[in-house]
Amino acid sequence: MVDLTRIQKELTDCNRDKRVSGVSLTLCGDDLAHLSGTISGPIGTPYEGGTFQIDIRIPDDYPFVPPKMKFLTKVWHPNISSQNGAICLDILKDQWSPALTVKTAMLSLQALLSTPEPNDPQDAVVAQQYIREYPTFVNTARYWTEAFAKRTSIGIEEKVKKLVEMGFPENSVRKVLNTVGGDENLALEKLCSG
Amino acid sequence: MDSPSQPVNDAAAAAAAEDEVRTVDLVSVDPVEEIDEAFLCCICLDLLYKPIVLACGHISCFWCIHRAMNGMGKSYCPICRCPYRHFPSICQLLHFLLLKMYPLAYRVREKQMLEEEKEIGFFSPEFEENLTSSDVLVSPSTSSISGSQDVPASCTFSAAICCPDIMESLDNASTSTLGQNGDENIEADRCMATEVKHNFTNDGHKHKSSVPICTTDLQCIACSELLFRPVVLNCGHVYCKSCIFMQVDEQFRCQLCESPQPKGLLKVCLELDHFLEEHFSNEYAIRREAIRLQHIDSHQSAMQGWNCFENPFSSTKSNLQHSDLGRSIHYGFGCDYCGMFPIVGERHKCKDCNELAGFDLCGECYNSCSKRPGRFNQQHRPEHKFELVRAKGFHRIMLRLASESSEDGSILVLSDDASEDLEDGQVGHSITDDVLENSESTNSTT
Repeated sequence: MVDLTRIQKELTDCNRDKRVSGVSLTLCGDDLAHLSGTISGPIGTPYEGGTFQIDIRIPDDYPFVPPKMKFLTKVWHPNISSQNGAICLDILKDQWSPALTVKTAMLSLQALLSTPEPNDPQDAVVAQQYIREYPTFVNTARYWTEAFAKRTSIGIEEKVKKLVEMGFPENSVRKVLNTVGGDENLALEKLCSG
Repeated sequence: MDSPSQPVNDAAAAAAAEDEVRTVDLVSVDPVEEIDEAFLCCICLDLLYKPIVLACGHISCFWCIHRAMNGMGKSYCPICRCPYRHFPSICQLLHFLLLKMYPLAYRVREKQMLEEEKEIGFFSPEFEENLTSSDVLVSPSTSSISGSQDVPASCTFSAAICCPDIMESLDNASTSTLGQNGDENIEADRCMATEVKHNFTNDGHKHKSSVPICTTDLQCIACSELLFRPVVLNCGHVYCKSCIFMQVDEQFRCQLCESPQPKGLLKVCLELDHFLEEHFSNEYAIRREAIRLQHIDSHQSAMQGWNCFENPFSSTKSNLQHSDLGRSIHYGFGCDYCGMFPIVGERHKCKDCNELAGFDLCGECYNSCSKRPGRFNQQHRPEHKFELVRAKGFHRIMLRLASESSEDGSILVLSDDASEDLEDGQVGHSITDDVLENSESTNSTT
């Protein structure tokens, strides 16, 4: 059984200083075992200005086993899969300690964004680029941040316009955007898959 | 606790209702006590309950540490990742300190944990002498501990406390259950009892204005003075760091319970140290000065003692010590006296303890014939009989594989049997019997 009291405490504790820490935590529905976190991209990195959404699943044995985390927002980073958002970080695996919390784990993710570890990659392509053509890596990462991590700044009308320009009928664009909660990328995926 | 606001007609009913409300309030109402962050468990993020202090000086709850331990090899401190191999006993000094400082919150925690314990069928040790008094305070009718059973269910808290009979029975209970520093505890009980009575009679300010903690609650076992730079031994007893001298080839034993202190580092419990410095700043400063002078006098010997303690016993990253490789490891089983977990070497299992937790001893503790209580409140008695249990055969094979090609993944899968008991028949699977003991010899204690 999931330790509900601890997760409740973590939720309140994390959201108490979310402005300062740059990480926040919300519930996904009623289930305390499924959380959604956001971290802001660290300043001075290609991720600056972006808000990254993280899917958090709390396993039954938590806090004695690490929470399962992955990026929902697409991000270009050697230790994060550009395909599915899987994260390569030791404290989310064998270096987990029950004294760590979801918040500290998210702060570690924030730190991971500012200091990539290309020698222990999750995404080999990104890692290769990071090592061999660093300027290209920075540009790509910045572009991905602009494109995927800043969607909240773009108004719904702009999203509709963009998608309509791509050739989708306006009606279905609006409908799909609604169902995915305004997420442009998810909407595009849905529209493409029919 | 607000006074009951429900309408009542006659005086008797009013009194009865008040009693009931008080009892209920104490148990169910959310604790209003503001808990010092130092006394929050790093694992459950709640008030420490039955605190355990690891050798590195970090504190956690009994159950939190128990669950965080690794039955396959060394365990690591959740905070500093310092390795340890022994599950320490509960630090009673801290336990009673917390009970005194946060009587309401601590009771809530106790209730919570007791329910969880009932669910899993494992119980943490009880410290009767103090629970008795607190049981009287909270609900005279539900107390299950001898010494307070004669309290009439209807008496109020203050009445229960004031009644000399109760105090006497408390005293009796304390002295009978605790042979060691019983006097101190009784005194502490009294002090607390009167204080709590005071709190409840003045309904306006409860338990907030004055915390009845005195220096006698925080004494070193050795020098009987206020603790200075406290260290907590594996047996849960607290000493000033300067009061402990460890010889290089001799094992340090607690002066009170004679438990041997496992070799390895022993660090000051900083949370407790800060607490002392904050709450008893004058006394603490005096102690600091006294110990400084003492050290100038006997610099040589003091340094010797410190050095031994600061040396971590092993710097290897390996999960198993080299000395372990030739010995059987009883995965998932711990020694109930010294707390070694998992047991390395001989494992003696009590045949007469029926608790789910079982009762096991390591070879060393078995041979030392010590009579300390178990780690899980087992009703173990000295006349119980023991049998020697061999580690499962495949554990030994896996161990061999592990030492050769480090296939730790398979170890984890195969030996995940903490709750499973070892039967004679299963031991027969063992292929590498060469190092095992000759027979399934059954021993009995004297």
